Amino acid sequence: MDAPREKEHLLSLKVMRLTKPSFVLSCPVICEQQDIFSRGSDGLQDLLPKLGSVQGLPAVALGELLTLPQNFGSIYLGETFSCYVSVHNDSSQIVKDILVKTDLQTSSQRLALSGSGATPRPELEPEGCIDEVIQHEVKELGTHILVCAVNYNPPSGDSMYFRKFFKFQVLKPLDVKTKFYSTEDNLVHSDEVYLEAQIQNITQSPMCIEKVSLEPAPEYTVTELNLQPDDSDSSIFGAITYVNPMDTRQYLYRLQAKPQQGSERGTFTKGVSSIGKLDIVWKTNLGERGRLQTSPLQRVSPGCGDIKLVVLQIPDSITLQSSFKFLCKLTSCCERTMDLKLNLQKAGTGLSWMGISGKQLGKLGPGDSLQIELSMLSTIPGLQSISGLRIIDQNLKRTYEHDDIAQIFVHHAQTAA
Amino acid sequence: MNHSGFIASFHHVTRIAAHYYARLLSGNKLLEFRLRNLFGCSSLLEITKMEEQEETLISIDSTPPEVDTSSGQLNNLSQPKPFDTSLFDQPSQQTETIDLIGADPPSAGVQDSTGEVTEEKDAEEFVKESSDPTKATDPKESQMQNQFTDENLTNVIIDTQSEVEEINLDSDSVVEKTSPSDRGDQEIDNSELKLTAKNNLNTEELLEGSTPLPEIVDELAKDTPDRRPVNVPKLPSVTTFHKGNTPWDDEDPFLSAISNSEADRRQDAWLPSESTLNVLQSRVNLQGTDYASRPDLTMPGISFDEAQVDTLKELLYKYHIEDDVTKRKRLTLDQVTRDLDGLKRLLNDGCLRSAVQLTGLLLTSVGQGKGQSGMPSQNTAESIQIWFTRLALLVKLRQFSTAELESQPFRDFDKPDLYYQYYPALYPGRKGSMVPFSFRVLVAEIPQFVSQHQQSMTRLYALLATCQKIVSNLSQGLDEYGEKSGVSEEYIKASLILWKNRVNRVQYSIGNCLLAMKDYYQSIKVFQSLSKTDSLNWCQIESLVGRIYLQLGDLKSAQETFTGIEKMSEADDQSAKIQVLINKGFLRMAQNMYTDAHIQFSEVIKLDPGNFTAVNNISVCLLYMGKLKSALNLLESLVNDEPDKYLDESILFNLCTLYELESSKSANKKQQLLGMAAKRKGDGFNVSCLKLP
Repeated sequence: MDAPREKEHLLSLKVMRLTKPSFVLSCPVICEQQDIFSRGSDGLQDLLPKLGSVQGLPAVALGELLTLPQNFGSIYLGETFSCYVSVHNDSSQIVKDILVKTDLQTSSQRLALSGSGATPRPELEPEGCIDEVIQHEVKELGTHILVCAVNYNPPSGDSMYFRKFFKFQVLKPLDVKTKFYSTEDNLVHSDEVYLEAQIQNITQSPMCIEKVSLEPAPEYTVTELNLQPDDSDSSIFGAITYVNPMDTRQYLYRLQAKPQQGSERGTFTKGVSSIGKLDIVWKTNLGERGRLQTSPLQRVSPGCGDIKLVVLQIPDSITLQSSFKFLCKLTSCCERTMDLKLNLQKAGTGLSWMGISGKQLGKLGPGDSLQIELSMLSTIPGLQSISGLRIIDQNLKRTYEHDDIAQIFVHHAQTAA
Repeated sequence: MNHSGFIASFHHVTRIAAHYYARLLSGNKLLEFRLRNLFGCSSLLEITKMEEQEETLISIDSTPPEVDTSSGQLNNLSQPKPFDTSLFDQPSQQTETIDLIGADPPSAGVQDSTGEVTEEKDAEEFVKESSDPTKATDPKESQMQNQFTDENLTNVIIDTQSEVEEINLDSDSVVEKTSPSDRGDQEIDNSELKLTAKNNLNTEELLEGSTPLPEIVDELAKDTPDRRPVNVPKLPSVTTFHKGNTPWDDEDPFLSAISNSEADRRQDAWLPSESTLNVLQSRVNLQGTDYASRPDLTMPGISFDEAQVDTLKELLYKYHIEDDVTKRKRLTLDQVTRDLDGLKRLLNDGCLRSAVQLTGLLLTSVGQGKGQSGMPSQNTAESIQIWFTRLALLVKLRQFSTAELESQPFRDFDKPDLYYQYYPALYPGRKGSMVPFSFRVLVAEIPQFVSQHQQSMTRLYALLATCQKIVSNLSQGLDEYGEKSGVSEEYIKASLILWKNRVNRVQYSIGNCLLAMKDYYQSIKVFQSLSKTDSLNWCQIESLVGRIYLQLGDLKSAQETFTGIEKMSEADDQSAKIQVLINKGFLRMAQNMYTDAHIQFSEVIKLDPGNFTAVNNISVCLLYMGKLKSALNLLESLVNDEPDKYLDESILFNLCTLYELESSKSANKKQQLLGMAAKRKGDGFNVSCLKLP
């Protein structure tokens, strides 16, 4: 690192990233008293005791001695970049008016970390140091360049200036995936929605996720469902407090719309709406802390299309070669009136429709619903899925396909008895 | 004394001859003891005293020595020898081996450096990685790292939007991930199976390719009567080195044997597998006449016999600190006797590399040298102790792949030839394994150092199962093997203590291995259970658990653990008080409260001024507080004031890191440390901690 231009300077600048220290790991090799390289004392002892080992526990690898960070390591979004900047007077002369300035250049902006607007230090004696610990919470991914600039006046001559650059990459620590679930019974005007957040640790080390909270948008209230129902203090994740690299944890939240003026219950807006943000705090090696907030989570209200079909009643199981009935409810979700016809197509293996295809269901206005009862015959044992229901809107000549709408278990008569 | 001696070399052929002879004499009193020959090759000699009339039956001649000069010795020793010439060729050579101070030719180092370089690669990489962080981040050097620059990442937040759609597709893969451990277990089983299959193949091939053992033995039996008796007075000192051994005096051999046997018996106890047990029983019944087939034999061999480079010395030459080279008065291989005593001296002097080389020589002399793995040779309690030493040293020198390779022939130490019962004539009535318990643990641990953690776990749990079985036998008032052999109650009591400690010992290894696998949860569970079984050390063990929590970032659990210790410990317990303060210091550091941590560690020093852990940790705190000079002064004075004690790798590593940060003259200061280390440390010193280029 001794660049030729640096040698002309009286000062030198050194930078070290202060990741957390770690405990010294030894490699114990234990012998008993009768072994040949035993040193004769009682009990267990190490072949070659080192200072790092724990007193009384020679067989334990993780010691009490702290060791300074050995390399730059990786830095992740949301962590705090901390580094030691030391300017040292290598010369035998007194140097005057020293100003150390550090900036951080990201792909989008330049941040002043220290030294801007500060008054220069009047003088630095030989072998003297100017030390500084810089801390900055990284809020951007990608390349960062730490720029350290030193201005000073040597005893003779003009003021001198040099800069050093230190480049590092900020990586993504987490992968967050979200999924919304609407309650089954009331899809059209549901006032509650469940949010599942999958948080995956994509760093290299285990991560202790301390907090994952949902900050809802103003029109919603949120209930966290990640604590044991009986004991509100313990998390559902049990004794394992950390997430290994590439492992994922799921968090669940219930969102309720606040009642709007003039109506008893709130509703979720149709289409795309913002629900809120996730706030995540984690710790890794020896308390290295990280914090992230997601962008607003967008919810698209469930695309049930123009018609929603819900199965109201169906038997769990049925004997082979017998018929059964089930009840469906059709609800219109669109603004126009539809003229509906029911077609029954191939019902899938193992089941056959009983009844007429092409039956007129009549007109269905916006928000209206109607119930239909259908019959089927079981032909093959096993878990069978009902498919092949087609609803046709005769006004627009549009067909709505409904497959895999329900399942039924078909068994032999003997097993039932 | 109306006795004449007969010497059997350590070499397996003669050993078998002795064995054979011993069988002929089964009615007579046998007195066996081992001799130390000052000359390296036949380091372990066995003298069997016997009745005069049998003298003609056996005698072994000593063929003229082939070793010419001292310089040729090394090569000669490392070569595998033909059977006949290897017998007792050395006794007359003893004078030449001693005092070759400073004669270590630099060319030897150069010549052998290739082998060493590959071994040291890890260390070198470590140095590179651990070098000044500024290097890695110099913009000129690392432009290729630029993976993210092209993306326009103006928003800091994670974009969850784009991933909403992925979820539906990925739901299956999420489910799959939930059971990695199950699959992991299956994988181990498979690999274990493969391993066994492979080994069987090897032995079968060997059986076809080479002379079967029984023939060798028959040949020897025919040969031996023709040999001349060995000239006993020629032998150098006759000393015993094995603790359980009887010196050659007028004591009744049987009485002394009994007095030793109790400790030996419980230490050596081990439960063989069923197949091994069958072989052992049939040998006892047949009085050892039935020679085992090759699959029953353990056939180790060293994998390299090149000299190990004294890296410390190399660095001294590199930096032209010639002055210190001459001052460096550490032992070398040439300055010690080539026997166990010499090995001990090297170990005590920290000359691990020379010690490894010496074990290589000793093992070569018993037919377990380079390239002799997979060839039958005689295993003895002594040869196995030497193997233990060798592998332990290789692990300490971090030459893990070599250690793993050389440990393979031992595997689970279940071959019948590792039990005393296999040699009913040599060890009449002695039962148990010749393998030291610690050696079993070491060999079980070795795979984890080459990233085969699961194999280590399998082996360690197998050890644990056996230890627990023995403990359960003893708890029922039976002997180790679960038999009613009429042992005294005191014996059972003593043995129970020993075996309970061994159960703990294996548990510690399991905990370490889990920690290395980063399976923190299981590791914590193991250590927590140990804090109950090893209750004397509960305070340190619980603190260890707290440190594991801290390391993985679980500050809450760490705090709970530390508070638990504080509550449990008694007020007047000084060591517990210190432990509590140290724990608090660690917690404060994890909370980024370095000033508070500094206060805690300083309190420790008030109570215990010699606590270097606290001094080192204060120095670390000072750096994070921005006080580099103070941090440096603290460590520097620690090392300078008591260099003999504190010239330790981990403290030097911190000191050199601070030097690098402090000034551009760090190289000089590191070289000063190198000079200090050279005066005080043996060749086992890990120079990478000095971070010299």
